[in-house]
Amino acid sequence: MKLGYVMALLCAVFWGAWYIPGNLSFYLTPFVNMPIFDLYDYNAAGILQAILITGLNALFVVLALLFWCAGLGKFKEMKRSIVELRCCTKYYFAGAIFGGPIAILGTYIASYFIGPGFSAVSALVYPVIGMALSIIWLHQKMSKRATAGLFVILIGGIVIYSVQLYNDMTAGTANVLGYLGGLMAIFGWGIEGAVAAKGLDVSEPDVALTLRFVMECCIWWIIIIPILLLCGVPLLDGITGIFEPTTFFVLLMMGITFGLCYVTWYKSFPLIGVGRGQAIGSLYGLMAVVFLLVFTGAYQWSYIVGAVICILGTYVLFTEPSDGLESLRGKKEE
Amino acid sequence: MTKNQMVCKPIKFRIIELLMDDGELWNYEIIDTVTKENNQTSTFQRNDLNFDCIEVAASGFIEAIDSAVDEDGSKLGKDRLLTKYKITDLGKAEYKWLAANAKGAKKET
Repeated sequence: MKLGYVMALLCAVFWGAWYIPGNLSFYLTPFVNMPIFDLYDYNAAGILQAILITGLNALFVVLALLFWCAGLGKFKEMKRSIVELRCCTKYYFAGAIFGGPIAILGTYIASYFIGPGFSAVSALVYPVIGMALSIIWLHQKMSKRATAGLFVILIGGIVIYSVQLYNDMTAGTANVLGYLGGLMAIFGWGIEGAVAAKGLDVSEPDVALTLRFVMECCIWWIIIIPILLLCGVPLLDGITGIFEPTTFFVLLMMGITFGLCYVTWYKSFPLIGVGRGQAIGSLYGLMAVVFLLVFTGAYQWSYIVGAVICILGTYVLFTEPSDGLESLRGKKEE
Repeated sequence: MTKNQMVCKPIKFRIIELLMDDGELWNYEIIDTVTKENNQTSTFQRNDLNFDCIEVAASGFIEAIDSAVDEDGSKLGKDRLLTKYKITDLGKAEYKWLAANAKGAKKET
């Protein structure tokens, strides 16, 4: 049980750290001067750039995770799991759809149109979706205290969202796409967690996660990006330019931090449940604010207030006694 | 009930099946069987399997019914915690579903 909490905490640290290379990638060559910015308007070009970077993010996460699985000697287990289409693979694929083209793309869109701080903290609300689905669909238990903790986290998220929205409305700079991206992240990650937990019941977390990212890679690099290229969208300069040393290093950091954050996220689910795993993992919001402050000097007071409320909610969860939580499900729920 | 149809299937399938077939088993007995079937020899792999058992128990498919300490270190490692598991009703239902849906598994459940 305690190990599950430690995993979720480590997830928060890696996830927060990911926002640095994640946001930096928008301003690197070749992404910053791709021809899409001359051909399309600001919104369309921003979304196309976010699509390319999300695809590259998935590619570098797969690279990092393949090294991780090779080190752990998990390739045999991976082979055994991927052929189990009905018992395992369909859940990884569903996780890839909700996590990749919805949640991760959403968070990049929010990051591009509003800012990484907003993108990081707005998604804090996603455990509420995960909790609701884990109770309804997975029949996982949720104590009153855990529910209370989650609602405190939700209040923190609302503070962050509403203050940002108010500031943008009064300044006349509100960009609907940014808020839509934030909502995509909330719903995408919430649903992914519940779907992943169902698959994780019968699979190893390291293997499940790697296969989920391999499938996300297929969605980007076999379906979406080739379709865009065939439609004449000039993304090729961005793809071929990734070997520029600084860009490659940033993408590699992006892959390693995100890969490890997902490894620890998935490892926490079977041990402490989707609701708790996601809630503790939500500390990434604070970590992101801290990392962004240290590396870029950018912060807003509302992000800090919201993040502090979220930590209080997480503290309520973390101090929950683990007696009676040996299993996440009741005995007679089947 | 067809026995041993989850050999060389994902590890968690096999853990549930071993307890379905034998009723109650210590974690080191599960680990010994699975490592032998998969030619796994390292301590890391044994510890990893122990962790898989904990995860399956957290999912509610099996439950801990007894525990002891490995005093001489012959089973899992000196002073390591040994846990005895048995399958739950939820685990039995999950096994039936796995046996009916796993690739190439015999459907006689």
